[in-house]
Amino acid sequence: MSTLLQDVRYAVRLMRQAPGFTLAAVLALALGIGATTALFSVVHAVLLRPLPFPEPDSVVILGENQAQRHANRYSLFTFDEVSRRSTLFQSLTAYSNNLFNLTGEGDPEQVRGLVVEGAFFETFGVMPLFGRWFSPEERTEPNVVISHSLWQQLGARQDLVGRTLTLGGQPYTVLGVMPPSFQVPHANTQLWVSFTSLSGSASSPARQSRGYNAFIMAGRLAPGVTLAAARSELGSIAGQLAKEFPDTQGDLRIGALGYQEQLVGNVQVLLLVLLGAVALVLLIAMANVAHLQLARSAVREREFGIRVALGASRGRILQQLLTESVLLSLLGAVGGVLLAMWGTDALLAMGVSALPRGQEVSVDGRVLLFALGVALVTGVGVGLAPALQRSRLTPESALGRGGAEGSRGRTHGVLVIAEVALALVLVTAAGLMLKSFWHLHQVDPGIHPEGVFVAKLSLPSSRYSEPERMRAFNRELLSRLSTRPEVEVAGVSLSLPPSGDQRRTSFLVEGRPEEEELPSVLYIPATPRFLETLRVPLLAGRGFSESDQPSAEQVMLVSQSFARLHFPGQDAVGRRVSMVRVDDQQEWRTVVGVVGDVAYSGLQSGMEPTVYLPYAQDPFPGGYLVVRAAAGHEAWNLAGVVREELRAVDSGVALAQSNTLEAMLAAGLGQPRFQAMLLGGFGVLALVLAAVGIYGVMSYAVAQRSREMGIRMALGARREDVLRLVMSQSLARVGIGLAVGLAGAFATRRVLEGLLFGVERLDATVFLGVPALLLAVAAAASWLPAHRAASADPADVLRRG
Amino acid sequence: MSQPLISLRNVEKSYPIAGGRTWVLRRIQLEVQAGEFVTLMGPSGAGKSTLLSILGMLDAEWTGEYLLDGRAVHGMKPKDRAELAKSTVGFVFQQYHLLDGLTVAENLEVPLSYRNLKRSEREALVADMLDRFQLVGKKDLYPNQLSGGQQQIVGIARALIASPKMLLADEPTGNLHSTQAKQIMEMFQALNRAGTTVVQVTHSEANAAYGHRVIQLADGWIQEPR
Repeated sequence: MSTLLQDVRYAVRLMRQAPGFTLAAVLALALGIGATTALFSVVHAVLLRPLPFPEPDSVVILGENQAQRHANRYSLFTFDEVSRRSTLFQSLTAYSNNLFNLTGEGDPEQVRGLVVEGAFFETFGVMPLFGRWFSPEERTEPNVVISHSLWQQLGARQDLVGRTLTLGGQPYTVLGVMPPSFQVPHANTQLWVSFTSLSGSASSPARQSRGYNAFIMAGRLAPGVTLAAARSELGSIAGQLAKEFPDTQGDLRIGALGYQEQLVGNVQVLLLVLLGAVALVLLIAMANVAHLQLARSAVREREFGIRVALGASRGRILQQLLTESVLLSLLGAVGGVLLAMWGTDALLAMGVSALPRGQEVSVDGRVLLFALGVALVTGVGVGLAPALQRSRLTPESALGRGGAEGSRGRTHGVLVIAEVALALVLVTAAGLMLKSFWHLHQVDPGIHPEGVFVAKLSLPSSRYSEPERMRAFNRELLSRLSTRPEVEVAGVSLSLPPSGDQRRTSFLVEGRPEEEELPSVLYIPATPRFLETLRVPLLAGRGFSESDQPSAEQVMLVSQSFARLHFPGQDAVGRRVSMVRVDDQQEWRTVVGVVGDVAYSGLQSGMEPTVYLPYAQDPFPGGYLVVRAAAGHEAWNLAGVVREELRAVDSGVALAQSNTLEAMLAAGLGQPRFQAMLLGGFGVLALVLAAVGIYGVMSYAVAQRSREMGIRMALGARREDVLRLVMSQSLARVGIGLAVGLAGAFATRRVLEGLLFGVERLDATVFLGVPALLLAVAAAASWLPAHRAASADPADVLRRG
Repeated sequence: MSQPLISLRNVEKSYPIAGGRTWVLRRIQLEVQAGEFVTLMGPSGAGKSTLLSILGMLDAEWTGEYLLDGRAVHGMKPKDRAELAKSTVGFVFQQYHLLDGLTVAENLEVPLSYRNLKRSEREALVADMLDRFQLVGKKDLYPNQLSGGQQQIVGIARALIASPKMLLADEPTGNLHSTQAKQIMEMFQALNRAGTTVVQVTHSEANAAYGHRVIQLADGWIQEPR
C-alpha cells in the first residue's frame, strides 16, 4: 500500500512537471469518457433502469409479441371478454388517452388524462404519494387520481385530496396524488379517471360498439405464470372471439409483451448504436493517449533502466506505470463527468426528453460508477502498451548500451492503424445517418405546412355528447374564423401528420368477396375545407361540401394510394366501400373524390392508404383545428385570433398543443434528426482525434529520425525526397487502417439498417467518400511534420547528434 | 582460505558479427575474497565495464560459471538473479544515474521500495544514510541542484543503503575533479575497511592505489600479473 502511495505521489509530481502532456492527455480522456458517460446516462435511464413498479417483469401489454411503434388498441367489449375468460392474469386493465377541460382553477385548461377500465392501479401496483386509488368497484363514481406535476401546478396543497376538480363540466373528487415516477402511459399524463364515470359513457360508441378499438390493454401476470403461457392463452381467447363474433372480432389477434419492452423497443437499436459509436470515440481517444504515453516513456527509458538496476521487478515497473496512467484517466474522468453533466442537458435539448423515460435522464450514482469503471479500464488500456514495453527493459539496454526503437515504432504504427480504422467505421456510420436524415428531409409530406396554425380541441362530454351539438360547435367556430381577415381557410379533423390520433377500421369494397380477414384502413373524419387548408390536391371527383349531411348520401374521399391499391386501373369515383354493418347489413359509402397522399404516420412510414369521411356524417368531440393564415399574416399570430373566436363560441372549451404545422412536422423528424446530429457529432470528434493522433505520431517519428534525415540530406537527398519518404511511411499505415476500417464498416452496416431511410446498404458516396476524406485529413496531419523534417538544416541536425 | 565471495570460471562474452563473433571477454578466471578492494584496469575496450556488469548481474548474456557468495549465478533464473543482486550488490555508476524527478532522500529510498520493507523501516534507513554521508541539509534538493561530487556521494549512499555485501563502482570519479575524486576514494577505502568488498573499474593509477590489488585486462583477457 505504501509503495502504491509512493507511486501516486510520484505520478502527481510527474504530471505537474509535464503540463503540456498532462493537459493533452486529460483533455482527450475527458472527451472520450465524457461522451461515453453522457450517452450511458441515456441508455441507463431509458433501457436499463427497471420500471418503478413492483415486479415490473410481470406487467405486460396485450397486443403484438414484438415491440411496435404504437401499441395495439382494442374495444371495451374485447377487454370485458378477455377479463372474463382469462385465468392467468392477476389483474387486467384497459386505458385510453383523453383530453379534459379543467375549469374552476383559473383559466380553462386542457389537461392530458387517461380513462381506465378494470384494475388499472392494481396492475401497475404503484402506491399514491397521498390518498388512495379508486378500485374497479368504484368505477361509476366521479373520482380522479392526479399526477404529481398537476398537483404541483394546483399549488402542491396537502389538502387537495378530498377536494373537487371540474373536468369537462363535471365535478370529480380528488382521491389521491401519484408519485413523480409514475408516468403511465406517458410522462405528460396528468390524471386518471374511470371511463364509466364519464357522463354519457354508457351510451357512447366505445361502450356500445364491439369494433370501437380505442383502448390499450395491460395486465399483471399471476405469480408463476410465464409470458409464453400468457401468450398462448390470449391467442386461444382471440381465436374463440373471432369465431363467436366474426363481424367485429374476425381479425382479432392478441399476444403479450413486457411493458418495458414495448415502451423502449422502438429506440433500443438506436441507443445501442449510439453507445457503440461513442465507444469508438473513446477507443480513439485512448489510442491518442497511448501514443502520448509511449512517446513519453521513451524519454523515461533511462529512468526505468536505473530502477531495474536498483532492483525493480517487472511487476513493480508495471505497477508504477499503470498507477500513472490510471491517475491520468481518473483526472480525465473528473473532466468527463463535468462534460457529461453538460452533455446530458444538451442531449435533453436535442430530443432525448421525447424518448420513453427520457425525462429521467441524469448523471446519478450508477452513471458515476460507470464513469469510474470506464476510467479504470481506460487507464489500464492506455498504460498497458508502454508499461509492458518498459517492464521488459534490461538495465544494459536502458543505460546507454542499446535501444528498443524497433518495437516502439511498431507499437506506434499499430495505434495509428487502429485509430484510422475506428475513425472510418464511425465516420461512415455518421455519413449514412446524415444522408438518411437528408433524404427524410426531402420527403414530400403531401401537405403544404407553411403558414398553418394547429391546435387540439377538446369538447366537454357533459355538453357535447350529442352529435348535433358537436356539429353545431364546429360549424359556428369555422364560420366565425372564416370571417376573420387574418384567416384564409380553416378546418377540423380527427388526425394530423406526423403522428396525431389515428383510427383504423376494417372495410369491404363493393363487388369483392368478403374475406375472413378484412383489410383495415386509416380513416379520418374531417370538415369540408380541412384538406383545402392543408393544400392536399384534389385529383379526381369533388371534395366534401356543406351538403354532405347525415341525411344525405353517405360519401367518402380516398387517397391516391388507396385508389391505386383497391381500384387499380379504374376510376375510384362512384365506387362504394363499407366500414360498418348496421342490422347485419353493410352500410355503403360512395367515393366522390380522390385526393393526394399524406404521411399521417410520419415521413419515415411513407404514405398509408387513407379514407376521409365528412365530419357531419361521423362527428367526434374535439380533434385538430387547422387554420391557414391569410397572405401577409404569420401562422403563430393566429393563436390569439383562434382563442378569441373560441371564447365567443364556448368559453368552457380549452385550446391545447398550439403550434405551427411546420414545427409539428419538424418535431416529427426529431428522432432521425437526433440520431443524425449525434452520430455526426461523434464522427467529427473521431476525425479530429484521429487527425491529432496521426499528427502526434508523425511528429514523434520525425523527431526520432531527425539524425537519419540529416545524414540523407548531407548525402544528396532533396527536400522532396525527404517529404516523400516521411509521407509514404505515414500514408502506408493510414492505408492499412483504411482497409481494416472499411472491413469494419461493411460488417457494421447491417446494424444500422433499421435506422436508415432511403439509403442503400452500400451507398457508394459514403463508402468511397469517407475513406477519401480520412486520407485527406491524414495527409494534412502528416504533412506538417514531414515539412519540418525536410526543412531542417542537415549540418545543424548532425552537430546536435 | 575461506570461500571467495566472487568466483568466475571461464566466463566469456561475445557478439555475433558477419562471418563470426567478436569477443568482449575471453576465458575469465577470477576470485575475489570477501573484504578485498580490487581494481580492474586496462585500455578502452578491454572489457572492464562489461566484466563489472556481469559481476553486478546487470548483464545476463554470457557463458561460463559465476559463483557469488557460494551460489551459482550461471544456473539461476532471471528472477532469482535479481533477488540475489538485490541482497548482495550495490552499484555506483560513472554518470551517477540519479532520478532527476526525485529529491536526494527519495533517490536514496528507491532501492528500499523494491525490497519488502515497511515505510517506517525505509524512512529510518534513509535518515541514517543521510546522516552518515552528511546529506541531511540536502535531502530535499533535486539532483540538478547538486555538484557532480555531491551527486556521486548520493549515488554511493544509494548503493549502500540496502547493506550490500559488495560495492561495484564503474569509473566512480570519471566525471569529477581531483579533490572530489580523492574524497570519493577515501570513502571507498573507509567502507572497505569496515568490511564491504569493493570492485572498481578505473583508468586512474591514483585511484587504483587505494585498493589491495589490480587486475589488468586487455582485449578481453585478464593479463597475468607482472
